[in-house]
Amino acid sequence: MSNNKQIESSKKEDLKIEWFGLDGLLCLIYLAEALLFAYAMINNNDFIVGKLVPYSVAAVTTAVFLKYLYQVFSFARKNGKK
Amino acid sequence: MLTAVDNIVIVIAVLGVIAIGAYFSKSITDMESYYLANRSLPWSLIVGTLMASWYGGNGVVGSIGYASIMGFSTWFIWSIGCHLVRFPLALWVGPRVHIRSDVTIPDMIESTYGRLAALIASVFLFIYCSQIGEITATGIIGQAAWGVDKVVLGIVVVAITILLTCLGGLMGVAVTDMIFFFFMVTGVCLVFPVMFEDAGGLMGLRAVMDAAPEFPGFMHPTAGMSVPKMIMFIMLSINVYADPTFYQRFSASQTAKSSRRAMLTCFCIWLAFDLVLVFGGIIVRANNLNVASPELAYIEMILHHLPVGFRALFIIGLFGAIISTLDSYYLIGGTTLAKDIYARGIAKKEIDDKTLVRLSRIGSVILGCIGVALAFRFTLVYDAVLFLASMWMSTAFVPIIMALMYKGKKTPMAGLLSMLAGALVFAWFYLNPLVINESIGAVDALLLGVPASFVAWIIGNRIGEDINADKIGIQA
Repeated sequence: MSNNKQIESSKKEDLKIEWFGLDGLLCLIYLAEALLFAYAMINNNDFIVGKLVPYSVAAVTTAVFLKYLYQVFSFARKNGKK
Repeated sequence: MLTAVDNIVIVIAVLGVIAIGAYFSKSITDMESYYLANRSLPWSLIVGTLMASWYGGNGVVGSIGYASIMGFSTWFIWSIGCHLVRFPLALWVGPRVHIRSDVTIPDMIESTYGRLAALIASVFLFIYCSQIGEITATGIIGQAAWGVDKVVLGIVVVAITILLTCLGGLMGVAVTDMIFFFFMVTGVCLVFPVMFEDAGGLMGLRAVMDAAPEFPGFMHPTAGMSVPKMIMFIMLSINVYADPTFYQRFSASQTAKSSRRAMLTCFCIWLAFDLVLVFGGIIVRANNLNVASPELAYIEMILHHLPVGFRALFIIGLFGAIISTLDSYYLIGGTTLAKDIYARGIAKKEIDDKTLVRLSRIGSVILGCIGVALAFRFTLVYDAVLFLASMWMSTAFVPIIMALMYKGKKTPMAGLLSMLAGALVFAWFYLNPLVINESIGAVDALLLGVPASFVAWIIGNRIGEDINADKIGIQA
């Protein structure tokens, strides 16, 4: 019975949105991006559209890719030790 | 066109990716490890695999095509608006999918509405997973890269896809998706600043497009699209709420939190990458106002700007976008055929995990063969499959969302009636389009099918008993 309650409360905890944490920050980043890019397009800002956006996307994708490589290698190392 | 060096790089990369798939095949021991990677995918892999599945061949070349016709409004309306509509999926729906114990969408439908509803959903889902539009997209890329026959290329792409799907299951798919996506995004983004500068930046593009009377409002945030069209575009973006690849990724993530954050991260990256693609379409149009195939012109333009070797990586990335979308659907379609149609509807008995994994692999092969057979020939059958595939959304959206989000009574009749009404109303208005006026054009059948499905759900929910009445306390 108490085990069930524990599972229930951990499920509820997992479903809770952290508006003042990472979840909220990611929502804010989206809104900030939308405003910044819209400003750049309307006001002919070539630096934001032509440089900042593509290089930022490439940089973020590379960062996610590197994190992925690290995780895959850790996974492979763990499997190798078994 | 690609050089011999480019082609050697492509062959090496393809062999490498297949070897990775083979490596992960060792970790498959049961259905959960094959289909859900043991629910262990970390944030970075969820981000990579969601992004890669999202930008299929149609997604990339389709965005270029839209932007070359509608200009700025493609980003302002389609991109910003559509992603905003999908925020509830990331914030509330996705995490609820994760905490459920069901493996597939039909599993969830069976546990809420019963076996018959699950079987109907499985058939529609299997057809939806054929994704034949993606196979036809290989033709455009193949023509730009090698000038080869689209059928041969389609067969090669589907063969690689099937190999990756069957070998590595979701883990293999997730890992290879990320590699493909990395090549495509970096290729597109690194070459974009040069293309943008060559086109004269925003002022240069404005000068050309504002002087083109056949494209009024092209460089205005909203003028390139009529208001009803905007509403239609945004409403149609709810399609991801019934997309099985999203459900699979949410279920496969380590925690509900990581699935939510992965999707929110994707929105931020998609918004920026959409901008790069939209400007790609605008530049293609500005370079040649009468361009016949903006998609083909865009790929040729990128190949022209990239150095030898890097061009190969870009082409791998583009084909990877198609493969990563196809393999996700083949994995789900194969499993649907084995687990949800064969085991649930034909064998009507529990099948051990080893056999299920084997049958799922056979299902993926069948799906690939159907795709290749239909993609370039048999126009009538192709249209029929495309029609049935687009029915999935209007059939399944309401029952799925209500099963996940509505905590009260849910009866089998609610599921059955909403599926039936959604399918019939969609079919009727698909075959007999409803035209309100000339500026709006025909109303998409989906926009009529989904509300009809919802009304039928409410009516059906008044008939019969909730099969989970005794479990309401522990429902998600």
